Amino acid sequence: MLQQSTRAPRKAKKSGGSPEAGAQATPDKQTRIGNAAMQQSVQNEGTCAIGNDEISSWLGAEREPPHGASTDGPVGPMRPSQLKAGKWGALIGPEDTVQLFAEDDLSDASFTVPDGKTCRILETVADRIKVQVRVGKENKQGWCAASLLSDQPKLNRDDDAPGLTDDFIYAKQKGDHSPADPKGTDTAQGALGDCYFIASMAAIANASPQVIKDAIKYNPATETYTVRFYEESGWGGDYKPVYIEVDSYLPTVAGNRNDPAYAGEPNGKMWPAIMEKAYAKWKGNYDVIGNGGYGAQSMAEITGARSQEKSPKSMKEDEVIPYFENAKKSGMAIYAAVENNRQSDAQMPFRGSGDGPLTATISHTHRWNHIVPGTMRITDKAGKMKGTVSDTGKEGDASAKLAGSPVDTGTVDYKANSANMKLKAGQGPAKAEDLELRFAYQGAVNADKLLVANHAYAFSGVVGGKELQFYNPWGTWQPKPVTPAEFLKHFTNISTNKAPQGATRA
Amino acid sequence: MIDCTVRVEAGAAIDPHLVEGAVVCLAPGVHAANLLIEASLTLRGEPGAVIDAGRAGPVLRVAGDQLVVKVEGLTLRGGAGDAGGGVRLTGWSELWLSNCRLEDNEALLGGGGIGGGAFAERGKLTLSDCAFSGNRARNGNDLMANGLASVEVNGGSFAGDVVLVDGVRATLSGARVHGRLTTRGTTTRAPSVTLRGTAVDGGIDNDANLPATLVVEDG
Repeated sequence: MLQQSTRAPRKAKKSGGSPEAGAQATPDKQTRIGNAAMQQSVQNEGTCAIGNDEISSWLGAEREPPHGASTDGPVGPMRPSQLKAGKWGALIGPEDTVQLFAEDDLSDASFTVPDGKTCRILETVADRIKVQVRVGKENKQGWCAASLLSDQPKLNRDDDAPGLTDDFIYAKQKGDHSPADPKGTDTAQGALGDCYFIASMAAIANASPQVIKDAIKYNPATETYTVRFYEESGWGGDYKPVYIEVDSYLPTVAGNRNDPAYAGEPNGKMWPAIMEKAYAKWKGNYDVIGNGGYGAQSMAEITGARSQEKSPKSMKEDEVIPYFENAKKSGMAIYAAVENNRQSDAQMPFRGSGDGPLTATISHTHRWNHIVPGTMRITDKAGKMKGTVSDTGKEGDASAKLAGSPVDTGTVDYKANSANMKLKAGQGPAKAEDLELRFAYQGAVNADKLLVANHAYAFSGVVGGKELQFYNPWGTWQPKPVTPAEFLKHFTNISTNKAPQGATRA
Repeated sequence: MIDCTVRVEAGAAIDPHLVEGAVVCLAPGVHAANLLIEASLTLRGEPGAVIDAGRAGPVLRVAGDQLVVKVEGLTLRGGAGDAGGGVRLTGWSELWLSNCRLEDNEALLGGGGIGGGAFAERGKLTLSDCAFSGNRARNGNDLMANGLASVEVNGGSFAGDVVLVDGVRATLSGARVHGRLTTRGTTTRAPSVTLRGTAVDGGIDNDANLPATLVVEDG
């Protein structure tokens, strides 16, 4: 299946929705934020970038808890200080469900949603908000008290993609508050296309666990976490710290509030999920980080040091093991990617007769393999069907139409690996088996070693002085050790990152 | 125009000629290569010259600093990468592409991928009269820039989407984006994007919560 093969297979699949259309920017809007404004944003939004000299006092125990949270009683989720149309969040209240109303005076009870349901503000009136939520496979609107809105990153399940079911909700998680002994094996990717980020965390935890320990601070008074990232600030490679505050409410699979939908907790460790949530909040939302990314960049954003790239193609076989051994000794985090390795196949899968319907079940040599949308070509070996039939899909599509001069109607379902079509009168082949389907596929580049195409791995170590062990950020399907020859054959990119000496929280 | 310092026939290796100050001219035909350029130089294609990376990585990468790399009259295709299947600029350098075609490149890592045709994280990417088509990625199938990259587009067309985020500075002049233009900042900075006489057929998504400074002039 297309995306499950490159995401953690244990979780549900993400849809391919388009970005939410937003309003155009006001040309004179102030977008560069000075330190003073950023400090204000600490109090207002809980998300900030402030200087080293300011962070120490801000992190001190004396400071006021943000967001109006009280230290006397149970501490709830983070609440936004500003409400405006277009803002995303989650409805979190004291009950198991949240009531939505048809009218803005909160009369005429309309429908309920589970506590923790994500929403988008459509309108605000005094202390009430009108929100849009996804219920089943449709969007619904209703009014509720503004105080129910919690400041949470938009999920990648909030897209308006047809057929997408809303199956994730925010729920409070309890676990290991501080990463006492972070390891790469603590990480496990969920139903989000951010293997680059998970692999980056894993690689750094393997090489420089202190960086992870220093990056996350739990604030017991507010039950929030302050997560430090770094942002490159200009030519010369300077990085400045960025501090993002998040609470412990995580996206969970509906029906199981203890099962995080995204980065999981294979060892009962919360730090990968907290760090992922903070990264999503910094960059905008889970959607933003969940559509692929660049591992060299995300490693630098965690350590504050620029990553270096190396092409495996520039290495000789006998250089591979010494390179990785030296990198390990010097405390270098290594991220390696199997970037493409597209392969092709030809089959005669069609059944039926005449002009159709003609149906096909497309087979794969490995369950991880999937068709690359837009690469299917169907021709008649015997030549009776004139012309070529092609699929119209593009990356991320679950299905697409079949098109071409012989086609009347036709569709392909990339998830089900099936196709069917009806041809124009007289265009049908002499027999369905004459129709040859050619397509490109991706998936297992080396099934014996459990290596997947288009996937990122974190280097773990050298095994027996002659093979390399990598960690799959899925947290499962761990590859077997690979020889230098296998490494050079399958891996197309290496990014290394060495945390600055003595990198600790400012 | 500076004369070629070397002319490379299709089928011959390009890498050995990628030295400081070189003007490497590529003869017509398909040159199988994925290039990591580590010197200031010019790559010039004669009519019909194509570099095909064969999905073995990006077609062309510039990761070093203070380089000036010019690519003229070439078709770059068949590239693949987690970011920037066609071209990837990650160094504080200048990468100029003029009269180029970027076709059938992809960035598909992790079910996503950014910048199928081109990706810039740092430095300055200048695209003059370049045509992007058939490139694939979940995020910016033709072009994505983030970090502190500076992007200048003069003429040319994008069949797909363009994504300009983070702290990018970008100006698109006299270009056509057939897909969608997405702009978005982070909680700590925002891109600055100017569209000058540029048509965006697929519409502009400027994030409502983390908007770019977007200036539209003459169209």
